[in-house]
Amino acid sequence: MFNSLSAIVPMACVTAAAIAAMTAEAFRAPRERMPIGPLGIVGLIGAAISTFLLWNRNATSFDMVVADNFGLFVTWILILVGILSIAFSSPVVEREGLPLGEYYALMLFATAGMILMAMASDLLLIFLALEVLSLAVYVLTGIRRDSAVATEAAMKYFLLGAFASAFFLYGIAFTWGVTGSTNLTKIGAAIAAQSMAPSPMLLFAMGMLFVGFAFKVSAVPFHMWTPDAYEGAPPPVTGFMSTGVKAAAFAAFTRVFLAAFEPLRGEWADVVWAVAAATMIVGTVVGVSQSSIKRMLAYSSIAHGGYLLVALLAGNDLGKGAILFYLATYAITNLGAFGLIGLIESRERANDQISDYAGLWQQHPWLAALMAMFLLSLGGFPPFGGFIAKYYVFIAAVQAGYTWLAIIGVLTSVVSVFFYLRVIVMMYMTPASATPIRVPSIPAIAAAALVVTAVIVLYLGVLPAQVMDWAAASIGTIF
Amino acid sequence: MTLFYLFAALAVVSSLLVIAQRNPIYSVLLLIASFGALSGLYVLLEAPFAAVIQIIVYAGAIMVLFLFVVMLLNAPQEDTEYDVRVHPLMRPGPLKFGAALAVLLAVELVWALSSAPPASAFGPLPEITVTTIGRTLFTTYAFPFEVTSLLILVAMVGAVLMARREEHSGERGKR
Repeated sequence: MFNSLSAIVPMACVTAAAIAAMTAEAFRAPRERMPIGPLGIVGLIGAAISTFLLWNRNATSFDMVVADNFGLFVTWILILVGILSIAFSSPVVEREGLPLGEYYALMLFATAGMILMAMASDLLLIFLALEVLSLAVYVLTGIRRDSAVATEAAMKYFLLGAFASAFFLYGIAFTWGVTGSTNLTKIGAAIAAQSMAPSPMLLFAMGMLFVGFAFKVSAVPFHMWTPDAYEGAPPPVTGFMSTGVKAAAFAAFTRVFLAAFEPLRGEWADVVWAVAAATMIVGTVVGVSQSSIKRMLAYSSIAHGGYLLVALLAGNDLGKGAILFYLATYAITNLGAFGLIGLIESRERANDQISDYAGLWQQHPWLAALMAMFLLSLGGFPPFGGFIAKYYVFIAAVQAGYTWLAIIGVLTSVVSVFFYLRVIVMMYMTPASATPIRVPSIPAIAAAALVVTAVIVLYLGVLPAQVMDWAAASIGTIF
Repeated sequence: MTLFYLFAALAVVSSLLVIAQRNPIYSVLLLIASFGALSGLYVLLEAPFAAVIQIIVYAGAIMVLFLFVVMLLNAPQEDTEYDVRVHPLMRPGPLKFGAALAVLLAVELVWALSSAPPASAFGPLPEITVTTIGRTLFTTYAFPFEVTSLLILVAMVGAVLMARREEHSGERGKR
């Protein structure tokens, strides 16, 4: 049983870094500056190296953790999300006086949970990983304890998240009751045996699991918590949870629905169709009317969840590859945008209204250019990564016969360009207000993260072939 | 059979006393007695694991939580706008709601006892004893067991972070 522990090494590296961060905090004098963030980055780099070494090995540990290429690809995205979030956090943590050690420890624990969720092949383990990451993210959302908005956001997120976890657990219990196992492979075999006439209990179980996942990826109608949580959390945390949680949840979602529950596709396809369409439409339409840039990006991230659901529904090879590619581009771009918002915030002013961005171009041309780039990529403009990602999703949908869904997707993308462009127009064409944004000097680590993010967004847009190949190789190993 | 009637009587009587109390703390303590009687019934049903879990989780953890909440709220007596001499159960709100629930329960009980047991949608359940659970927990499910410890660690860090007193106010931004 203990003959192979290799599949859990990436997750163990991150967990070790988290515990190291906690221990470091215990030995830290009250106002001492200690490089706890960089310590976490070291652990994440260790995880990245082990992920690289595990590539193409198909290692399995405990019959529950599978380091197949699919899981490893998502793990890479998650490690990148972790490193960039920590880099973007450093100025914010200092400015807000957040508890240094706990902040990074929780971020690393959440990353460990996400990695585990991406690699778990047992429903029980998926649930535990989901809880590890959710608990850490609930606390990170409310980490600004003196802010009423943050407390409200954390409370809302926690209560609704606890409900969603209960749904998910019910789903697991009923699945176990019907199929006699929590192992995804065995569940798949048991379901395939009775796929002609699935019992109502099995459909009930599937519905419960779907609700749990839909909540975590904030699909309509389970998206209510998203704008509040994203607005209340410190911006780097928002970037972290809007990308990391979504990537981990979609990885598990794909594993459960495209592998174990694939024989029941006829039963869930229509529901996912409706949810995907509703998610794209609601995310876009409500996003148009937002005046806070954080809420606008929250609705934009809901809409992006809809596009990912389209790729999941398509379910063909192109669609599965598109999920991975889309997750990568979306994660990097959204992180960049929220990192930048974090830098623009100041202690005196939240600076989170779109009107606050008026004339940013004159004050900080580089920040404005990067922000414009991230927003255009989110909107799906060439030559940025977002364009290629959306292109693949829609091609996959059309190939799988979901033409109407692809049309809804293209239309909502066009509408979403309106609200992304509104910010760009604000930055470049509107004269600055009387009190323009003044960003103090940007720490080197955050500047480096911004540059890395921008380079990756451009790279994914101009030369997507290499990453597309990796994504294709990833889905080849399973399903 | 004597044991069954003993535990059943204990469970029914203590449950009735739970709702007949004026002081919430007595109610909570009586609820523990009711849970203890229930776990005795589980033992008679040859489900020792459920019995132990009943004691540990309900009588142990959850009731302690209840007691804490009752004591934190500092409400030894129920505050009410009604005349104190009217018993809580006789007040209009609880009376209607409780009566509806009682009727519902009685109908369910009659229906369950009169109709034949339906064929289970689930397959035959494996025999579950403490030994098998313990063995599975530390072999097949050893890794999830360890991950649970990680989960508890995260929960502890989070709880301490949320609950601890501010020792350096003024260092934070005011927003």
